Amino acid sequence: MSDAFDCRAARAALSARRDGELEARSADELLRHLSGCQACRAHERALERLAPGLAALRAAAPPGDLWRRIEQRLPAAPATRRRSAIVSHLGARAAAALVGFAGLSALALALERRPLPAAGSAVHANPLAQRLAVSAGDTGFLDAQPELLLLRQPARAAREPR
Amino acid sequence: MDPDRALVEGLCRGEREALREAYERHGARVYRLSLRLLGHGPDAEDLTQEVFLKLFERARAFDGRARFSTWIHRLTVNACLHRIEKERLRRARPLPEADDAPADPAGGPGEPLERGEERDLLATLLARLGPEQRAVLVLREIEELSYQEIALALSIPVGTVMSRLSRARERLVRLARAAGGDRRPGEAGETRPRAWSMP
Repeated sequence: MSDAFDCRAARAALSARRDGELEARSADELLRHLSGCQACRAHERALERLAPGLAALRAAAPPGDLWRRIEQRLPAAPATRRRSAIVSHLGARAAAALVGFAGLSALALALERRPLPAAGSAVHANPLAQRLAVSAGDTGFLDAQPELLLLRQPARAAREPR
Repeated sequence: MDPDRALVEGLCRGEREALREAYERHGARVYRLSLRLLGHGPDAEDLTQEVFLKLFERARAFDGRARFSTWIHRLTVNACLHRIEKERLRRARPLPEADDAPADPAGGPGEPLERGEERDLLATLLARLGPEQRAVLVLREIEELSYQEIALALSIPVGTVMSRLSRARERLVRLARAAGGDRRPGEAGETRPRAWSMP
């Protein structure tokens, strides 16, 4: 072969020409080579015959449920998950606190409205009831029980300004 | 400007809706590329899922130097090559290259010739190319990327794209001939004319 292109270079040039990537000067050299090389002309025809089959491979489409399968494998959104966990945690605690507060308020209200307990009543008899009554400000029953005055002292100290 | 810019921003914020949009725009391409590189439908489906899960997880790694679609191509090709290599190691034998590939790429004697379906035959022959040649050929012939885009997607120089593409085409031609495409109608052994008959 006397021209600048050997068959290897010519086939590379044929490939580039198919893709519109061959420079004009190389295109001229390729034409000169092809005019004298039957094997490379056969290669050129072979490439042309393959082209429609390769183009037909573009038609493949993914199955319709592929997105759904991807979605199922996605991790839970971190921000949403953290926020909802915090909200649910705080919500439970707030609800517990609210119930506790409401209970205590109702108890305090009930104790405030009731008449002084008579000696030997449930408050007198029950130390827990006495403490609740003190914390609710109802210390009337202590007058009848001087031995329990110790209970009144912290309650008073807490109310007095320092 | 990259038409996927807003999409990338949404993905960086971890928005599922952005991922769904990305799938609608690029899902078919990722699947097709995976199918032609791996040569097996279920593998391609699995890999497409993997790519989009990675996309969701690593969107922040996208630096914007190439187009987002090119980045997705790169992600897909790399995932495919990784899987092919893993499979090769698992089998502990090299993938057959074009030159020493058997004449019947489907495995059964005469099977592709019996099918006579041009597209199926070419898909089978494509699977016989080495992974790197297959990648460059698929990106050019099926995805219709420019040499520059292929170079970016595969992280190789444009010159390498040209030479690899030329060798891939030469091998594909040889494979087609070996599969019986070099026999013209009327020649001994040829029973009917084929569109892909090689000269």
